[in-house]
Amino acid sequence: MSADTSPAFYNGDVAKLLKYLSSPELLSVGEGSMLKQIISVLMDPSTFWVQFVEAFSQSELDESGKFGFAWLCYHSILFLPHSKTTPMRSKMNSKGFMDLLMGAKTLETRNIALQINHCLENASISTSLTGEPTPGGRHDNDFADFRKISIVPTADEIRSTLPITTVSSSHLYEGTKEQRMAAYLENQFRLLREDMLSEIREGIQLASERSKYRTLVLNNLRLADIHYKHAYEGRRAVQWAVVFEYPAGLRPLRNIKEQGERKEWLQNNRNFLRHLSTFCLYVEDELVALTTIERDEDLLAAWPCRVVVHIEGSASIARALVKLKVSDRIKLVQVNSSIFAYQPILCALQQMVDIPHARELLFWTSGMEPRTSNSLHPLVANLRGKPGVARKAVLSVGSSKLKEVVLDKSQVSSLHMGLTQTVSLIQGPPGMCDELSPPALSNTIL
Amino acid sequence: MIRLGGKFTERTRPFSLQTIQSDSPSLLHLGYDPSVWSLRQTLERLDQDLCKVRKRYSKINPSHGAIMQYLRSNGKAYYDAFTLPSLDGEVVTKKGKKLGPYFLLNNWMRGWGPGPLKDHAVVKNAADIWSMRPHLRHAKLTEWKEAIVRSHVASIVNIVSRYNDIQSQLEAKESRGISRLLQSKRIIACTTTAAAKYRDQIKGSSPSVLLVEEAGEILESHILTALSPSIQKLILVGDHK
Repeated sequence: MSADTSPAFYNGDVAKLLKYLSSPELLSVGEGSMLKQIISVLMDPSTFWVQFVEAFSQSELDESGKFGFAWLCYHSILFLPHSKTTPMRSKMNSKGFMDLLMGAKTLETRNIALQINHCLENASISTSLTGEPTPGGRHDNDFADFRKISIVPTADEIRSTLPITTVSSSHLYEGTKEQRMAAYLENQFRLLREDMLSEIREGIQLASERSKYRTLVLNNLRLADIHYKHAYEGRRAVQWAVVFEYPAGLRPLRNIKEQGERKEWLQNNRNFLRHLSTFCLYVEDELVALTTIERDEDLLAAWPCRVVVHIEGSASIARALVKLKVSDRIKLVQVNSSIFAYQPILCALQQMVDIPHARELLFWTSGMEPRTSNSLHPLVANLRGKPGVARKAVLSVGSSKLKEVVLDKSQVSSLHMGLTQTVSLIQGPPGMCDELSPPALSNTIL
Repeated sequence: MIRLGGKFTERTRPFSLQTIQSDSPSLLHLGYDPSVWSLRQTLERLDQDLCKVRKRYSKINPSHGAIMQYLRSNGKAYYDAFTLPSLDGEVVTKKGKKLGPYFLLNNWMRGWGPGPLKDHAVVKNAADIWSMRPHLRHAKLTEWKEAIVRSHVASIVNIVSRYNDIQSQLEAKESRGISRLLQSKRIIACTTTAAAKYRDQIKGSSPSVLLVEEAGEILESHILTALSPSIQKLILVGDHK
């Protein structure tokens, strides 16, 4: 192995060997012990490794060579004992090394690079290789701490086909109350985010399949400015955005000569290039980032037309700025799903530290007594005394328009429960619940 | 009563926040606030930084010189292959011009061969580099250019993050007008998305009862985010089927 040190060798035979070794089936043989042996042999004596590293830092490896190299690095850290990998890890921690690896063209190599980074950050090494997937390091927006996850997905994340990690059920049902609450919050976040991601992935898939006139695609854009400054004083400042020039012009506006009329058309057709709708930014046919539209009608109606988009998340912003500088073919493709519907809730979940009424909502066991609050005592007493008839008197408080209705016993008791307990669940067939209880309850509470 | 949320009917229009925002914006105005002023100052400064940075960005040009410099530390074999050997002036291009310092790199980039230098030792030693197919050359080139640009972009991303951060803080301050408006209302009606979007403002008005309709259709996380600590009663009404 150490005899030949030419790049061709690394990129050819070595790459093939490592690619073969990276297949998942080999990993499971003897719980990884076979692979461990192979790697030990490869790495010791270290001449092969040293030459390989040299070839890598001198840019002599092509994509398959890089993948092999990354794979070998990662699995050496995993399999070999801590002491043996110290020189290797210090080399990896050195400046520029990880950047070079993370700048690789193929997604798989980048993913491995992130996993290496993740390992290097945590001093302890994950031992559950064949166990359930653990969050962290699988793509550039995967973190063990869900609060670090950027809500707007990155391009690599969208393309990742790895399964979602959810919190294991042991964390949800065992442990202290605080731990269970934290696990619950995290799980809610991850599940909701996966909903959003699959909607986006589906949207992108549809956009690539259907005929072009159905999906709005803006081709051959040119980067005009990396800082959007709104033109007029009256406009409120917004988050950072990038301006693209669209020489071809928006299709519905192509026949309208007068700029004022074009602006008017845009104002009357708000659903075209709707404000805050989601567009995918592609550079040289590679998905770079998800963007949201900032609908500036003056710029859109101008000639040449200018499109303003927001890019969120430092990983995506960095990536976009690099790619836009280096390559030329830029396009924006509309995706039907909207991030903004999910965003406030995901944000709120990240900010929450405590769950009110956790006792009833999370930790309920049979036999527990529901807590009551005393604020509406007089009304309650009134209700309890005379079912049915009493309803009339109570409802007429507050609004004269409300019809006077007579409730049956179950409705009265549910009303009673709603008024007394801190947390109550009222369920029943349609019609019975929705028309009566909410307005009735809110009226009586007021 | 006030209604937060996108859509409204004719009947609910007078209660909608959007209507209030457009018809009587004075209700939302809070008056002078020193912290807002200082945030605006910071934003101004960052805005100017971004203007300077935009010039710098447009000037970033991974030129031949920049690439050679990059290759000197990150791609020695390539650097050696493209460094023009010292000639005695007898070698010229087809058109008779003298060879520039980046002649070899330029030819390689364009997918051509080494031209008049093809029998030179420098070229012969790098036979595998010169035999690379065009698409591979293009890939390598993109890789180097991206690495060069990436080092410049890091500082830009930093300024952008701070800009966005201050902008969010300002938006939060400005929405306190909404908070005060909500405090004056007895009922706040909203969609689950609006409840999450205006979470802090609703929390500021300390609601004591949360009444949820069609609870069977709503996701858990939506209800969770609508719960504020001041809520004493949570009532979920719905169809469990």
